[in-house]
Amino acid sequence: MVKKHVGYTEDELAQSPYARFYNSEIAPLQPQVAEAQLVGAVAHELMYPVERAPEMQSDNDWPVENGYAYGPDGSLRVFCSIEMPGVTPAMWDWWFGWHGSEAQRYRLWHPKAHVDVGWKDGRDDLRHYVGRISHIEEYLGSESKKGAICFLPPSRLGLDEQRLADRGEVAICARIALQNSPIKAGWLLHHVRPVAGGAQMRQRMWFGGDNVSIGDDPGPLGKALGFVLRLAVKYMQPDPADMLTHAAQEMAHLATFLPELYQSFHNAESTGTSAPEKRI
Amino acid sequence: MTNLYLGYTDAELVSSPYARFYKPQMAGLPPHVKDALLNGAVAEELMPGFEFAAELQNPGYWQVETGHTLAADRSARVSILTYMPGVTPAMWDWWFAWHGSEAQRYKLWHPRSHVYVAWEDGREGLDTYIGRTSQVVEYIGSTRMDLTIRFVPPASVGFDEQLLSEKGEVAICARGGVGGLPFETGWLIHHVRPVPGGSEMRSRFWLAGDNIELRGHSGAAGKLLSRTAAFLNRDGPRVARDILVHCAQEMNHLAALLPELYANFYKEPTDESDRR
Repeated sequence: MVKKHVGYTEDELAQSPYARFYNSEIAPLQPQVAEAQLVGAVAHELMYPVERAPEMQSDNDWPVENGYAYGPDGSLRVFCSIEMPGVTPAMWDWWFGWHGSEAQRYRLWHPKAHVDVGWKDGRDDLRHYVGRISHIEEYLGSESKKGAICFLPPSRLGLDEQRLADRGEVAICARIALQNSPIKAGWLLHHVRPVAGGAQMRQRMWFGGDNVSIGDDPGPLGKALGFVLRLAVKYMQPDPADMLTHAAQEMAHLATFLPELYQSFHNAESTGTSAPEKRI
Repeated sequence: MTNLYLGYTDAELVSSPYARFYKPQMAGLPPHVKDALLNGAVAEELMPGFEFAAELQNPGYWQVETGHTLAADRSARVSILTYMPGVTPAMWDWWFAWHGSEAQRYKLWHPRSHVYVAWEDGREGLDTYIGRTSQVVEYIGSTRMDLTIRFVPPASVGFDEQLLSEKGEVAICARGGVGGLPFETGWLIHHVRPVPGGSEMRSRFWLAGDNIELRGHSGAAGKLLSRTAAFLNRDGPRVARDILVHCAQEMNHLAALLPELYANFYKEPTDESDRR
């Protein structure tokens, strides 16, 4: 077995059914993200906590759409908004169900940082993601990280799913957890809304501090442990500037070929003509 | 202290006499500031220490007008140049006296970082700031800080005040400290001089390191404690870039509003003896 790696090997480039979508070159950061990196950390009051996630559905932008802050509870908040010409929210909904069963798919997304992916339930035949757990391995900056992305229904974060559907929007919501453990370290939200000429993805990551818990509904002992754990998570915290760069790169990168990928693999599967590479 | 929040509330947006000057969207950083941030810290010798402050009065520019460095004494030095079309130095002189008595005024300046302001002497409505202490709460980066700004006469840091006034320049000079602590932690100067089409502000911060002084104790024991405090201060490099961003944002932001604000709120001093 080849050692785990970022990108495609020469063999993969020759054999993978996805090779023609593999682009090892990542475009420069979109200007709003580059500006946010130069500005650096901002006041946490401008970056709402996860409890205000339902306000993603208002028509107004949040005070900071691109940037990061340290909250008073020691949490990290990292937001970015990426423009995606030619993309629809439905494509992202499909992507999150589709990419998780093969590392070669996952590595298309961020060819310089993504290493490995696998569904915890081992069911590579399924095409949905809500309620499932994706185990990932990726670099944030130069640090390799493993994590479990526990996908949740948008209503779990207080979003109105009917309203999302009515407006043609998608919200991908997840708990960020440690693999094979009840320890939850953060929250993730990708809100994709249609805009003229394509879509816009508004990402929100809340990590550490009050976002840490043991299990979803801890008792008193769990809460006490959670408090201790917060301090530990603080030392595991990634650099928020690295998180911002990574998120902005992967979303903008995939968006450049997502319409064609969707055309090739979603449409082919749904018409049943030539389900490519369906591995059981 | 109550009412520690960023920005104007909905009620304030309706009732405040300054509401039409409150602009929560801030412009992007000017190109020379972006460049300085991308370059990062520079050599200490390119950025003179506080003891050379009076040389700001010389014609021309310093080698680094926008940038930051970490000096051998672990002090941070930060410089920011802001070009301000349509603004005069006198407007800034007025602003420093006027803004300090109301948080609503202070928030106009940096709507994304400024939280609170009050004069230590509790006297509102004076048109002076020199010799007074302004207590502020503001975010520097993600950190909310309680700071004291003790304004001092330009002559006390070596400026020739006669020369300043002959050239139509203003130098706002202050000792900066952290609220609740007995240390003065730095110096700041905003030197504003006329240029074609407006004026330019040359901001200088000298923070921590040898700039720390136990308030009222310039002797050996005070120096030792100050040195220890300076040694334990490890946030220098990050704070320096955060201050560079903060200062560039607030000076550019207010400069765009200042001429109209001044036209609306400046009042001729009624009694010349009130002036310094």
